[in-house]
Order: sequence, then C-alpha cells, then structure tokens
Amino acid sequence: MHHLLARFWEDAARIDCLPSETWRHLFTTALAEVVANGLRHAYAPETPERPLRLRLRLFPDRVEALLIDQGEPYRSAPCTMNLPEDDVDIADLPESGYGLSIAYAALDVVRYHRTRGGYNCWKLVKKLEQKQ
Amino acid sequence: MILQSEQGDDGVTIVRMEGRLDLLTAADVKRDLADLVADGRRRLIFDLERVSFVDSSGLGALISGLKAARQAGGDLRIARANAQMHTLLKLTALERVLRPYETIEEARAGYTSIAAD
Repeated sequence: MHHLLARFWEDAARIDCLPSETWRHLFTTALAEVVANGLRHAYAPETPERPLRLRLRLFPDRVEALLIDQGEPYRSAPCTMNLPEDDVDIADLPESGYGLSIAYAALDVVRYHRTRGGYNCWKLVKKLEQKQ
Repeated sequence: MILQSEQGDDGVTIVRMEGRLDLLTAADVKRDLADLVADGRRRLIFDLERVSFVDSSGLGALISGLKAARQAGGDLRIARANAQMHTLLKLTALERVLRPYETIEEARAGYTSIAAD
C-alpha cells in the first residue's frame, strides 16, 4: 500500500495536483486503517493468501480509493467508537478499535457494501483542498 | 527484540525502532515494551525518529506500554514523532495521553520528578 501510494503521489505531482503534506498524512493514515481492517476481518489469520485490491483515483476535486476483498462479509455496521474524554483513566484506555474512527475523522466518505458476487467493497473519498 | 534500548545514568531507558510501527510490527513492540517494564525499566522514552509510519495497531502497542509503565510507577513518553504520527494522535484525540515531545531532552527533563529506584 505504501509503495502504491508513493507512486500515486509521484503521478499527482507530475500533473501538478499533489495535495498538501497534511492532506496526504490524513488520507494515508485513514487508508491504512481501512486496509488493515479488511485484512483483519475479511480473512482468518491463517489464510495463506489474503487478496485485497486497491484502486486509487485522482479527480479534480477529490481522491477516491476503492478497496475490494473476497473475504467474509463485514458484520458489524460501520460505526465510530467514542474517542477518549479529557479525564480518561489510562487503565481504561482501549488499545484497539480506533481504526474506523480514524477513517471517519479523516475522510469525507467511508462506505461499505457487499456485492452480490461476494466481494467486500469499501469506497473512500477525500475532497481536495481548494487551491487559492 | 524488535526494539533497541539503552539505559542512561539517570535510569531513563531510550527505546528505538526503525521502519513502520503498524499491524505487522505492533505485537512485537507490545511484547518488547512489556518485557522491558517487567525487567524494571519503568521510565521509558520511545524515540520515534526512525519510525516512518504509525497506524492504530502501533498506537495500541504504545498505549499498552504506557499502561504497563504507569502501573509499575513509571511512564512512557514519545519523542521526535513525525508529522504523520502527530496527525494520528490528533485524529484519535490521544495527544493528551501520549504527549509528543519534540526532543529526547524535553522528554527526559520531566522524568526528574519521577524518582529513580
């Protein structure tokens, strides 16, 4: 994923459409979470091959990522966990489960759908900043 | 061990790793941090200078280390995190819990208030 993204940003830079560094960090951080989520939930850990297809597309106003896997359907409805409050007790702090909250916080669209053909599809969209 | 560690004269242990702290490395990092604390190294500074990317699994490993260190009466601090890690901390609202220090020296300075063994 990191190599694919690096190439994608190189291409974007070539046509003078490279989003800001902060924008890219938000997008990459969110994308990594959805990819990890797919690998974790769609396939059993012992599965020798866990195919996951990732397509990135750059539009004049947004970047879209489409993630497709052939694993188990994603069961729990996509939801966000509550992020820690000010007075959180360290001992109660969760060590996992931040993934999709990160994606929702960083992206404009996070949509899951299971195709009739038995594929999991995640569509992610992040709008580009308007150029000054 | 995936982590390299080095204990200073003041008893503070600097922990380092190279590469990505993500779903592929998080379990090892969590185990190494637990081992260090079990070994009595309860004042830790995790130097992130050579960590290029952190995801939520990596963050989980750091939280786990923080909990272990605090339980032992110590602390785990992070230093020299890159911009991506700062983004991750903001997105998860965890920067208050896992405050990023700009330099090792800054992270170390606060430790004088925690007495050495």
